Amino acid sequence: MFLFIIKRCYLQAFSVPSKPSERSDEENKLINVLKSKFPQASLIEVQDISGGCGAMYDISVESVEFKDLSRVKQHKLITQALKEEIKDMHGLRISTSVPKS
Amino acid sequence: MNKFIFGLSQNSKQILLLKNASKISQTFQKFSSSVDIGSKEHLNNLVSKSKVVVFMKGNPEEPKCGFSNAVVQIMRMHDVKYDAHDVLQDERIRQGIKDYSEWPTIPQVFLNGELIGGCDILIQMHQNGELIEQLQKNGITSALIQEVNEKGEKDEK
Repeated sequence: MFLFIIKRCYLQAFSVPSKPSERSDEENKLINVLKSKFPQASLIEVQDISGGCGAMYDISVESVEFKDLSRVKQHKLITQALKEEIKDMHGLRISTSVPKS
Repeated sequence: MNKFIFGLSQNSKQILLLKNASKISQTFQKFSSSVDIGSKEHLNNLVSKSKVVVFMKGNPEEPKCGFSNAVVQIMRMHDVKYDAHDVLQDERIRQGIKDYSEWPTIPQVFLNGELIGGCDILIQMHQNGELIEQLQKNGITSALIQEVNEKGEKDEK
């Protein structure tokens, strides 16, 4: 039992991105919304970092659509895309980037 | 528009009836609190008052949220003076600033009246030296700039 608790704490502390088969419904929903709003995105990652509560998410999007936009504008595109879903969240972490090539 | 104002004279038994009092009420409104708290005008004033303005949860001495604390610590490292507004003190400001900036989260950092971002963006800018540059452009010398010069390369953390 004790080992189980340590293992869970270890996993949550290091926040390893989840595999597609392990993603929660909400994580998948957010990914799908982002896919439709950023069709040219080369990378979309969404991870629940509230221990499964759906209260806080870590969101990463890499897309050419962000090129030449300020960070504020890039993040605003994401928050506007997820406007409805954000209402239910306590907070979120956003990382945006442009593909290196 | 006709307005009727009832007022008590010095002799409290008499009640004065004033017709067409719209002019008087308008003048009265001018001298009363001119701006609604949390309105665009009010927030515009707040973000323009100082070069750096931070809307956060709690205050710099006692931040009430990890993200707000991160912003406070970064500002401390750069030794930046700023106006801090605790959104937890007033729900009108808490919601108002989100509408004003079209930014759904707190903290929010304004430089020269413009939103430069929240905690995530500030951390990135701090790590890659962009924050020092932006502050410099606005006439603020970061405390870390000496370290940058001494090392001869950008400070990583």
